[in-house]
Amino acid sequence: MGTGQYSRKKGARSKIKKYKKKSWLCHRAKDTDQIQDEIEKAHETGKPADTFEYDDELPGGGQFYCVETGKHFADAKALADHKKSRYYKRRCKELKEEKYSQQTAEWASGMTKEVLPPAHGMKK
Amino acid sequence: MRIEKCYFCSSPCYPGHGMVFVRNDSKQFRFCRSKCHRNFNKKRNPRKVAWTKAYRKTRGKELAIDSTFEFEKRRNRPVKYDRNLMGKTILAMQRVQAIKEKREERFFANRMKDAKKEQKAQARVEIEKGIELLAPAVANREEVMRNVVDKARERIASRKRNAGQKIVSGGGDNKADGMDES
Repeated sequence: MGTGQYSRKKGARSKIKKYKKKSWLCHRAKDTDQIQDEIEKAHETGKPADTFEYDDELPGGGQFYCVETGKHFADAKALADHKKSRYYKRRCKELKEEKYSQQTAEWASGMTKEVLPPAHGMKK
Repeated sequence: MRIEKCYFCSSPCYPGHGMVFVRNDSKQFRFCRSKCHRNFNKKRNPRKVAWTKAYRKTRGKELAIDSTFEFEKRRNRPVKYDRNLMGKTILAMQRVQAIKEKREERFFANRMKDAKKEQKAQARVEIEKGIELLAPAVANREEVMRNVVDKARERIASRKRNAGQKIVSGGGDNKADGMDES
């Protein structure tokens, strides 16, 4: 066990790799608008969003995936427990909100997109 | 050179400022400064962060629906350069901006119409709460009022005197006397 002083000093965690790794982009969790996109796509194509092909490298072989949080779990029990957690319930609530995109940001600043008639005539 | 809008706060991202984050799904997120970038990393919803334009517009703090917003558009078809058109566009932009600002001011004034009443009511509540602080002042109030009234009387009297002297002598140097007395 360590001496336990690490996190008491201000900014000490910024020099410790174990904590820095958590903020690396490869470990970045999915954004809500990304997940909303996935859910929409699953809706359109009819393919469920949480089925993956068996992959050895993913925990649980990729078979126990939570769509709302974008996490893989080791077995069905872990997944079921996760669905009861506060994190999952909060995520579900966030996903129900309207999707925020670059378009919303531009609308908020007063800019819209010019919509022109198609250059090569309408498809019949 | 396009001036893009920040993904988080909707302010313009000028060249040499801010950052672009490209996600795994190839979506680009532009930020005007590290404040917005850091808030994005914390996964905050811009619609819930009070200082962003998205929050202000959705909550009705600012003018959101207006015909002046139809002018600024993202145009992806280049226009052949025409000097007259360019000049006219610049003038139009200035005019539209002036109109937009006036309308926003009007919207704000409308929104704050009933603020004075609220402020007075709140001031009243505050005075009642802190009445102990004002107690010595209330005791002195009569003296202070008497002082004020006396001074005002002096001023009026001196002014009348100066006016009388002016008529008599027709000189303008009495003003200095008046200034000294009051």
